[in-house]
Amino acid sequence: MKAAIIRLYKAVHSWTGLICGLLLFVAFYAGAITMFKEPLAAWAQPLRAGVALRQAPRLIDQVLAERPDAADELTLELGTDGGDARLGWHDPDSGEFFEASRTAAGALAVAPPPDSYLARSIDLIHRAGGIPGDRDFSLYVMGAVALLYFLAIVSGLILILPRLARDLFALRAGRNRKRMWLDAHNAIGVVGLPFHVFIAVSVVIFAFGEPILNLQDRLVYDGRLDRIAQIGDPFAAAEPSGVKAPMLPPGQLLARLRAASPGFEAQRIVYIMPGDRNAVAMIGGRDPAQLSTGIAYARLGAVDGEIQDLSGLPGHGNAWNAWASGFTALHFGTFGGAPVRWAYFLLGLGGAFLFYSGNLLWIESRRRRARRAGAAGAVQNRAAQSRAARAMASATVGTAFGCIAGLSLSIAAAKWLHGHVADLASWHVGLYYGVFLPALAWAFARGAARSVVGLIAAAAFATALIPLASLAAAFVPALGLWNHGGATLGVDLIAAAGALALGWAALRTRRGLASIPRDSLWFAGRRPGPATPSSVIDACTRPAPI
Amino acid sequence: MTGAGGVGGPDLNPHWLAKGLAGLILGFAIGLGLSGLLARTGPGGVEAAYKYMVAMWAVAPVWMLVFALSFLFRSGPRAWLWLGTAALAVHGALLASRLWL
Repeated sequence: MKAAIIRLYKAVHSWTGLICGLLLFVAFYAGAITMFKEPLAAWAQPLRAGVALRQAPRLIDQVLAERPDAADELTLELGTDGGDARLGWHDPDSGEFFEASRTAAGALAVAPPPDSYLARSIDLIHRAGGIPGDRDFSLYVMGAVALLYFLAIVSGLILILPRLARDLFALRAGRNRKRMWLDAHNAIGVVGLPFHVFIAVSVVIFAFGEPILNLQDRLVYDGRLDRIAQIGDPFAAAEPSGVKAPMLPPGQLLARLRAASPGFEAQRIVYIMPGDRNAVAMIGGRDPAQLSTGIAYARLGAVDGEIQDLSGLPGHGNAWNAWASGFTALHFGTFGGAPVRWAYFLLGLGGAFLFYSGNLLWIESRRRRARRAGAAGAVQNRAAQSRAARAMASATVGTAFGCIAGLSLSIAAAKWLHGHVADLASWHVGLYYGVFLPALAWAFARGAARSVVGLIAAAAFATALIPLASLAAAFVPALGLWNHGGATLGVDLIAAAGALALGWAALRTRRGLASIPRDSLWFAGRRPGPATPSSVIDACTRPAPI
Repeated sequence: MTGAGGVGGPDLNPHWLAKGLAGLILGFAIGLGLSGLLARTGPGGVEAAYKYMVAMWAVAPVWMLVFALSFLFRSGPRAWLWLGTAALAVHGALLASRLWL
């Protein structure tokens, strides 16, 4: 390849990385956390009593008798590991969701379910890349970011290809810090390459899928897309008969489906027109052995238990269905069970590191170039360059550790806030920005070199608050907090490990900064005497004379 | 090379904008056209269940790949010429499939 083309791709890699890196850091870090959103949601709220699966038919009958708003659709969420199930429905007029339970006296009790909103808040921050405000706007921005991010992937690959065989996994630890960061950046980038390609492609579709479908409707389907999309949709409506009939108990419906599709793990039953003779039971769940979307549905007759449509299930539908759901699964990591969740968690954290290290590497290369330019005497460029490099350094450390600290505090607060504030969702998002924005401002005010250790320490402290909340629950019962054990213990363990890693990083960074060359942007100490002419950045990072 | 680029940025050699826009715009057109050909002439016919989902997804990888590789062209005008020809050919084929298939 011609040298000019390689140079162009190097520039493309730098620019796309700089433009997208900060948003992608937030999206990847928050996205890694959403891999464990179920344990996180459980961690954040006290256990709720539901209904045993055997008792569910009686509860369903009671709801249908007393609640006309539940006549269209009822959802039975099956408990995991044999735990209680939950019965709920959306009021068709208000859209409000209700859950039913039985009091000790056997009467029907109906209330909106408590929700920690924690997992959902993190998911919102993930999707928006941390951009506050309108969701459609931030989604389009992230779609554009994903396009540029794919450019960064391809250009990075083109840059590294010639060296790929030689020194990919050679992590040259030691005195040349820049070399070591570059090695880590390259190794993590190449290991995560397929993951990053899936993520970039799928985000473009999540953002621009609707407009693409609208264009295709006109260009390809002659305006018939609505009808074509209905073909094979297992939710397509059935006609109510108007005649009542008793439905099979959920246990029997599940047994019928298990016989037809053994690997399938059911998570919920959605009853359509419950109690009618034509009632339909949509059994939703996933098959860990298959690439599938979040939840796939099988359609059964709720009264006779006859299997009506399995084509929605992974491995049962046509090849198009398998492809379409496979693409989505590759974004969400909803296949292969726990090992893939963990792999996606680590790949997500690795992605965040990729963007962080990429920015730092660019800043370092600025310093080198500035030094060369200084030697050549290109004076007029110096000030502008070092300003840009300094701003980028502040933005990078402020965003990275502000994001980590903000999310950690938002999570840790969940146990303390639950039941004490009305609008939990706003609290979680507000706490995030309440930490993130000041952290960013502080990084700009103090400069990267003199804020980075404090920022990492703050992130470590905020992350440590997560297991501390659980410890408080365990040792001070008077607080009325809770611990559930099981997977929620994993939340505490991961957070504790993260806090330790961040604490270690803070100490290392402090030690590293102490031995940094004076012409570095990371030089945090005071510089006595006149500015050394060897570096332009040196002059600009000097504390201003008071 | 003059100095070290504009305000803090790395150097972009000439034609980057022309090449990038060709890739972004014509890459989308090519992806849309190819997805249409897949939907109309691919196995199962245009009404196969869930096929429209795959056709939607198919736009993205083509679009992104053309965009990312557009900088390989020797110049901006060449990028527009080649990709424009490809886009016209794909959409011509799609139009033909709508008229005669």
